[in-house]
Amino acid sequence: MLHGEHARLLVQRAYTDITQGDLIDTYARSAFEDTRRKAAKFGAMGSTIGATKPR
Amino acid sequence: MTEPPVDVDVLRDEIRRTYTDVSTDQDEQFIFPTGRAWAQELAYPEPELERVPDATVESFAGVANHWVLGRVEPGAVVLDLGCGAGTDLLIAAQMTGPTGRVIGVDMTSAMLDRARASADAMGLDNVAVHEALIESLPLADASVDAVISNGVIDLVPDKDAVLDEIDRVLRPGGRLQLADVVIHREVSEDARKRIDLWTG
Repeated sequence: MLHGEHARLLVQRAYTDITQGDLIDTYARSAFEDTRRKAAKFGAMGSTIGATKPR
Repeated sequence: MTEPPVDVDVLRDEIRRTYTDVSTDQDEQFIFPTGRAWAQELAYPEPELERVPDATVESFAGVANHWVLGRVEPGAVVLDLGCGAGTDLLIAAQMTGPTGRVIGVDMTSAMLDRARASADAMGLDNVAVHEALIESLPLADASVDAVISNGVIDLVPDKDAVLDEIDRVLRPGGRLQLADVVIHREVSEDARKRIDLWTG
């Protein structure tokens, strides 16, 4: 998903207290150069998000 | 629902094959980082991580650390979407304690076997696992207090179906906390059809 898409889907469902953590360059740790290259091409990163379901 | 860019059955088979390998060949190198060293680098919560057996943690293939956003409460009912070999599941089981309950769902049976065995080895009796798709959860409406997941939703073409299922099983006021892959540049239609880009 594009960065921001998780939050958009949660806002669409009226979730609140949406918090996002730092981005992690997960695939930079890959043992394979091809994976590192593809991840860099698309800007693929590990991300975190939390949200609360409306009452 | 719009037509998925890939054959979903082929994608699921490829994911099962890849993650069965992650479960059974823990010394192999994969295209994504794995294992206890990776979980420690992500600063996974201690001492909970330390107590989870290597049989599980060496198959850890998370993409980030959602625990930085918060812990789950003692006594909570927690669902782990795509629990794999059980690293997050068994950390959550320690956080909820014996008055809570954790439920893992995954579609790769080899991973679930490891999660079950590790729960037994840790003497945890508040852990249940189910072989199922995260787009079709075998759980009642509003039956869980928290949903966690790590590196799984990005593997599913129909994100809306996953979010709808999370919304169905999560109780009002419940918390969702996940780690997932995001991209910063649009992927072309041709690239979306490539299974290898879906699986890593």
